[in-house]
Amino acid sequence: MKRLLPELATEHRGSEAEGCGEPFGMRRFAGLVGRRQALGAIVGGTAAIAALTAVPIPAISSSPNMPEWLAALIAVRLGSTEFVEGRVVLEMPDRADTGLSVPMTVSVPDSPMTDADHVRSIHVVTTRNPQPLVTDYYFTPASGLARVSQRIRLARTQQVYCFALMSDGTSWMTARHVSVALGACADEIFLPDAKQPVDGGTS
Amino acid sequence: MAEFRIRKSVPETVRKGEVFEIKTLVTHPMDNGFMFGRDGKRIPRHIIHRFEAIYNGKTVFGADWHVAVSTNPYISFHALAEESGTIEFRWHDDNGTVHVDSVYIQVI
Repeated sequence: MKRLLPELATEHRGSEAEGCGEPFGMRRFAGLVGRRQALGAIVGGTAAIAALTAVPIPAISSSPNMPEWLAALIAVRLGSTEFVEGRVVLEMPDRADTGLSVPMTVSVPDSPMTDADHVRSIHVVTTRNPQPLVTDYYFTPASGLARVSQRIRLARTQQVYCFALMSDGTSWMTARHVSVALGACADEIFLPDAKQPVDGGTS
Repeated sequence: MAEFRIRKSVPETVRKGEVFEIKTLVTHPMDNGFMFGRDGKRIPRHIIHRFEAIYNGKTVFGADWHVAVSTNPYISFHALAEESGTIEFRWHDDNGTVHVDSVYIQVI
């Protein structure tokens, strides 16, 4: 088995937890397999993706099974675990050509935004980005309308969750599945003499 | 770092009580700390981590940005027209600087 240069392998070992690849160990795995095998894996993976995307996938508007770590993260950051699906609307394309810049609009269209009843904050979290938090928006009654548009990065195909906290104490959520053709970290591949394992991006 | 350029868009005049849209776009690399440069070294994190809009001295909208916000961050949000005055935008950079810009809005 032909291995990558050992110094490269050690370099990756220190960075696996925060690299752009899969959070747990995928980068190390990619650093240790031979080039030929890695290529085979990529080709195989691409074929698998092609096979998957060839089947028409129904748009998944929400996920009933939120990962446990996400529920824990939300409980710590937002101090609430009682999220009800509804009210908050997340508009994103079902499929994105590139994960570098995916348009996103979050809103709570039916909130009157009065002193008594307004949206306090909206939080966007992803499931498979190296860092799950995306943005936190804070509103006041003077915002008039709880609707924000921005462009975000997605490292790969994944679920995007959106949580809204209201001034009356209720909490709402929604989720959306976004397919990403080329992940936000894919520019590593295009570097000349790329020293990084080609694991980011598609999966 | 390239020059920090700001583009903003607000309606010239709005009616009192009307909700109007504010759009801003700034040039910023938003380095997320996961990328590697041509020398093979990791590019350190350098993003704008907070954005605020202050309308006549009152914060009407705020946002915390994390590394998943795209390069050259664009944002569109809304405000309620109460009286003529300035809307101040503040972008808090990781390197400690606060980029400030403002726009005058006339309420009729």
